[in-house]
Amino acid sequence: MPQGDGNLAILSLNLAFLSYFIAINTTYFILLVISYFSVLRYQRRTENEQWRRIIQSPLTLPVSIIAPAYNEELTIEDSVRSLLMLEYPLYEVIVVNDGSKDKTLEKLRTAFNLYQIPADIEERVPCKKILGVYRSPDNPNLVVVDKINGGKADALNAGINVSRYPLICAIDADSLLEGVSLLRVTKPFLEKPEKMVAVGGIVRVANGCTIEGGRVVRAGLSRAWLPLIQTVEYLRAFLFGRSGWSALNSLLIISGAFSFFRKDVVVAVGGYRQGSLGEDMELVVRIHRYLREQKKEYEILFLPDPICWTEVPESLKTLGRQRNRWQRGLIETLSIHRKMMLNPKYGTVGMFAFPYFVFFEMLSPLVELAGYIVAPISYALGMVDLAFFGLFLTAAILVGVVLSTMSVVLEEISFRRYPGISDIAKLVAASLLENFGYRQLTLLWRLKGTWDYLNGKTAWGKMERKGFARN
Amino acid sequence: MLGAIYTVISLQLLILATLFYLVLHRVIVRLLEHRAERRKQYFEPHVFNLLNNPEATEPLERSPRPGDRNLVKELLLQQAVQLKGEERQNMTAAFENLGYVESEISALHSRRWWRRLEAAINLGIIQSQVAISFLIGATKDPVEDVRLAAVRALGQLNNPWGLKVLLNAIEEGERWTGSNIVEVLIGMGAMVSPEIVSRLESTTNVNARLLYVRLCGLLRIPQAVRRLCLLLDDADKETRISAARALGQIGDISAVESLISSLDDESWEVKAQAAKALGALGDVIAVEKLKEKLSDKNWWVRHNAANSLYQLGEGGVEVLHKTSASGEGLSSIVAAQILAERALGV
Repeated sequence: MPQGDGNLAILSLNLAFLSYFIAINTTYFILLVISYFSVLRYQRRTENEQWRRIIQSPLTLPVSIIAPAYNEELTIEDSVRSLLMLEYPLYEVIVVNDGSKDKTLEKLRTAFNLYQIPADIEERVPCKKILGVYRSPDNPNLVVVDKINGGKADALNAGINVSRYPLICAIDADSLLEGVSLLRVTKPFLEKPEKMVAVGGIVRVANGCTIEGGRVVRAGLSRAWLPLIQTVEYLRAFLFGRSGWSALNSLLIISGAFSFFRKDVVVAVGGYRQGSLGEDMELVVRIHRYLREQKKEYEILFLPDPICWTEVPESLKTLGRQRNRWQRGLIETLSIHRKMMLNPKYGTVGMFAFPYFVFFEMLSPLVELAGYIVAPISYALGMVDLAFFGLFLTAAILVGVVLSTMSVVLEEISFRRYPGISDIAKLVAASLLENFGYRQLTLLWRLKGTWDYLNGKTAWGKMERKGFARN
Repeated sequence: MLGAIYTVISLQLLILATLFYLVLHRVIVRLLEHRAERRKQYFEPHVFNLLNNPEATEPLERSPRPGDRNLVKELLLQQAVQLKGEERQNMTAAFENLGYVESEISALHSRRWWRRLEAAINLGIIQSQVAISFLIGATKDPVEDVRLAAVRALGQLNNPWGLKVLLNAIEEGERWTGSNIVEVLIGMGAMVSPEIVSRLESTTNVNARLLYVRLCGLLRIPQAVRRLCLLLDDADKETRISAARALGQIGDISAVESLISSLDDESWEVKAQAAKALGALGDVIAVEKLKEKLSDKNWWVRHNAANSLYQLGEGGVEVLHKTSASGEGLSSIVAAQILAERALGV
């Protein structure tokens, strides 16, 4: 290739990177503005809400909470106790022991005085064989299901098959729900029973919080830098990412750590996809696809207030595995439903949300990597001035910091969960720090995830937990 | 180049300004919270005094400090939601004497929708009859949340005018969320029963009729049983399901024969609801037919039939034991499951 053509190619690439940078950040800022109004509107709607009204209403729909558990012996007892203390008129807690190799089932049997009972189970959605159903005379609304290992999606399907109520709430067994979370999240189903099909709530980082008896009694920030940065990441992802997409009724992901669905809709689409790496996102995208193809009016909503606390990884190794899996799950879901891409038949989901996830979520690690390669080449060829390059890099980092800081602002003007003034400084500092090292590591993990997906790797990867009791 | 420098400087300034705003905001919020707490402690004894003497508003009126009026309103509202009887009436009088009813009525016309929403909610708590016509006006508000809050407030006022507005809202359909109105009407209690039975007989609107059926069940209106039994044969499946559920909720034994017939309905949902209702009615005449439904191909029908057999007492429990011991197909499993669950008290 002649040198002139090579230079032109590098120049074009540089322009493409600049356009990508502008497009992605413009999208983020648009989402930020939409989220700002959406969160404020939600807050104004609910600040005078009398939650007791929902408890007392005979129309409040009963809920089946499904908590899949795999090797959760450290946290399972606290988590289940927290679930049994929720304020809600009628609900059942279904813990699905997905063939754990540790003592998860034994812990549950001892802690909750479980007895195995005969069970007539309807196979509404496919799942691996159920070995036993256990009930507790001390906790009439607790059901424990023991089954052959089949993965999280399979365990959730088993829970759906055993469930008795019209709403299902999928949560991670290592997560803690706030007392009134159920009341808040079921309100949209009460208000729009025909249209509302799924609702997700905010997931916050529990590391650093004070937890007593399976409840977060004081929100706090971790002293370790890794969970602290993830706290900012979660605020950004939930408060302005999901709030924004929800306002456009194009929410493609509801976190599996805390998601609510109308059971009939989940059954109609065939339940969770067995063996899926990102079962939460895949189910939501499939519901969108199904209902848009059926030409049905529906809503999938994100609420910024109902809170689920979760323990995030404190070691790079575990975090790396998690991010690798998230990337593989993302690619898997987008590949399965590629038909929706830029397809007007799927409305805003097909025309905006889906392309956003493809270009700015799935492909962003590849674009960023290419940027890191092309930049020094451009400099070596004398096409980019070092000072300009430095300024561009600084601007890129600062834009990231601004976006993260704005999510902290959104938190401050709305919910103010972190009480101390020093907490604000910590969050802003974490917004800055994440750009030096953490961001690059995330890039590597996501690239590895992309590579692993292309090589057909489907394992989830082991997650190590400290357990809430040690917080 | 210069543009890039400006961009970087602007971004840095934006971050610094944001940080400054965040800290300042938090400090101001803290100070205001502390002040509010102190002022509340000052006002609390005077607010409690109003429970017995609604005329004793003078100490609350004379405070010159800004924000105090809202604080007093907040304290009064907190008290009002917990009170009943004479103290509740005194509280309403206190709201009127202090001019809060007037200010909340005027807020129903605010340009800000959230202020109108707040006013409608507050007027529901205040329960002043003076507000009724204004709340009826607010049921036409362009914002649905405000309309619903106004409807709820009318329900809390238990006023016949309000009832008429609510029932007309059911007939209007699209503009309203039916379940919210149903909820409000349930809160109004027995006073709504005659009007609902009358509308159940006369309405031609299928959606409205469905809501009346649900109301008849939730309010346990025995006068509706005859009509509900007829609706068990309605062409609309949702109506049949709701009628079966309502008959179970009312618990009138005269519906047993009709419900037994519904156990052969073509829809599993109707069968399941009829099976459940028969357990609630408690007539052992249903035992044989429920036994038959233990082997229904639908899970809900089997389960509700088994649960109802248990509820029917000795005869039903004996059937469950025999079926469980037979080891025949799904019926024996469901019978064994219900017996085991009941033995554990779950």
